[in-house]
Amino acid sequence: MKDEKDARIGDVMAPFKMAGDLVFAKVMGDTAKLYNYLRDARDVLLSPMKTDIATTPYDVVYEEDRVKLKHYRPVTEIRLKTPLLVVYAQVNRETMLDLQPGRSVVETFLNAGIDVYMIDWGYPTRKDRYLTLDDHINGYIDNVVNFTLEKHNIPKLHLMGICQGGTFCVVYTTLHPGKIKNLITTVTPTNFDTDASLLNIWARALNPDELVETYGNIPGDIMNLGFLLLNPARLMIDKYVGFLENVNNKDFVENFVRMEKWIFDSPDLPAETFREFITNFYKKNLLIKNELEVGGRRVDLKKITMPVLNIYGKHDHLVPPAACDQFTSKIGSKDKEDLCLDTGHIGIYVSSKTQKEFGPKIIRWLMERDGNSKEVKPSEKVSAKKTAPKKAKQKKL
Amino acid sequence: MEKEEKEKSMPHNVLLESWTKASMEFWKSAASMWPAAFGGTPTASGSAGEGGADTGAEDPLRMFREIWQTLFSLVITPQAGDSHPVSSFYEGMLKLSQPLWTGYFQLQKLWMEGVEKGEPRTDLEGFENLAQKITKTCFDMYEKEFGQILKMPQLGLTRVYQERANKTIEEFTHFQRALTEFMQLLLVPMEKAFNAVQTEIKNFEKQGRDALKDPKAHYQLWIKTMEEHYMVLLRSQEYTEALGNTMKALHDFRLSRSQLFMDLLQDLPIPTNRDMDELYRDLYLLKKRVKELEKKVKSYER
Repeated sequence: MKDEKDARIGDVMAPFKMAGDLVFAKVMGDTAKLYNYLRDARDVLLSPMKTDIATTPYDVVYEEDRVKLKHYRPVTEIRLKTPLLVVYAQVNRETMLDLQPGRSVVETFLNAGIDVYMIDWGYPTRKDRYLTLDDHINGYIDNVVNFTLEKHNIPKLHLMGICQGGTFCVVYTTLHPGKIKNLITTVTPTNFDTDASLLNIWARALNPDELVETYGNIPGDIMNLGFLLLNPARLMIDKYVGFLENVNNKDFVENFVRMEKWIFDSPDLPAETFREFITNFYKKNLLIKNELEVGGRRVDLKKITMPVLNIYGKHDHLVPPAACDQFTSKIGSKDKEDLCLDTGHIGIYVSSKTQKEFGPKIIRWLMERDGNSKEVKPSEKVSAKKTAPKKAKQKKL
Repeated sequence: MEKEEKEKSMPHNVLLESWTKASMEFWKSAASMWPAAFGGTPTASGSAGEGGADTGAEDPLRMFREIWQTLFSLVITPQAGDSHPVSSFYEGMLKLSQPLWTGYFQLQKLWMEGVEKGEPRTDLEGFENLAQKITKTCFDMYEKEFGQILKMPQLGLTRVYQERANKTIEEFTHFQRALTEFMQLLLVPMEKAFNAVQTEIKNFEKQGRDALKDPKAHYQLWIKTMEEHYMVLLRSQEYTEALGNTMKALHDFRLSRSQLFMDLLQDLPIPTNRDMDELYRDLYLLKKRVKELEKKVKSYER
């Protein structure tokens, strides 16, 4: 009986022993190669690295509570007479649009002569837990828009939203259509009634009231854990195996570290905003049904009548095409365009391939609709002068 | 059934003695399996701990086993003079720890059953079921034995505070149970992927060692299989429910803990979250009002 048991265990372990022997033999057989790999890896990891993100120079021109408005310093003659305001999501940070020189949406816009403003939502603290969607959309965004319009003495500006920031922009545009000249939504969820993304499935099963009661503001780390669980095999294992395979390649390591810096730089989400967003958008899908109310006013998508460009990723696992492709059919605009790029949620902004499509497409589209703008080649490069950001020019309570 | 009743009626020292013997048997069999499992020469059957084959460095468990045996032989054969304080303490400890022994017996039984089967785990019976059974037994044991103590009615001036403390311990255990079950669920695709690779390697083994040249191909197979199984799991109702249970348990635990800490803090000159939240709410409403008034003033100015 005992011998039989021993034999069975030996039988189970034999293949692993054999595989182990082979791996060991392979490693030992390539000793010189292994030595070189380890030496190069050490040299790379111990050498000074350029891993700063968001290095394009800007000035903070407006501040209200934790929210800041960044104005990027023009690097060439302004060719678009209307400035562009970019609204990022409250999940992660807007630095993703300016990850590194050569892979920066902001840099592409500046090189094309666009006057770029971007909202930095900052890091909410416990005192921000009562801030609602209304406070963010009709409060902060509206104040930022008013500030920019007054500064340029113009009636309307171009508005571009990223992910959840795009959803905010859609709501804002329906409530303040007179202030928006052109609207660009990128990877923006507007239809939440889809099972194409795990986020939608999980969010519907979540009890936001309990989460808010548990944490107050929802910790960024909890959100990040949720994102990692979307594909644990790739995001928690394979990604780092890939890093180890390329740890002797300095460029690879620098890019990897930049992306890691961005991914895990996650502000908490204000509690009430999170509660409203999960309940009214993910659970009830009120926006696309024209049943959403923000600040006591109904959000009617038909009130969006200005030109709209809606861009999304074919392989987006967070905001799948099914969450984006109904939007333009529900709005009142006649000049509207859907563009589905062959990329994912983040790749749309940072991949080398998409850099050649995404930014230039927006530039062309805006140029055609800006009026009196000078023609420009989107690929035209003008080197940016790097200086430290200046202090705020205006600060509100 | 009869066996269980017999066990219950046994004196504690007899119970302990029988457990020690069972433990020794377990370690003996583990010791004899160890070299076979990890590629060494199997020791002679049944000789572990009896001299002969387990001498020298061949049996890494020998020393541990001997210490274990010595310790328990000392404990289960107390000397004359049982009225000695140490013996009384020992008796008291035995009484207190009886539920632990009972539970440990159950755990060990489960473990031994798993080892007894000793079959290659190419299906999911192995980890999934065994781990879940062990978890269930542990937490059931807690619920039946210690959990009941926490539910005893509290009396007197500190009744409310004591109840809150007990509730926090109870909620912590519930959370740990939910989290353990959730983590076990998350580990299932990993085991499935290991099994797929194990089968693959066995197939290669039949073809000869040369077929196993590229370990990276096996890694790719493992990661791909794992990803596929995760995709199925993460979309399942079972996963969503486990996630929901864990979040609910976390909520209940954190709420109880906060309540307990607020009780503790109320005597200290430290503001609690409740105090701060009230203040933040007032601040939020005031700022909102100021901003509205500011806008109105601006519109009048125009």
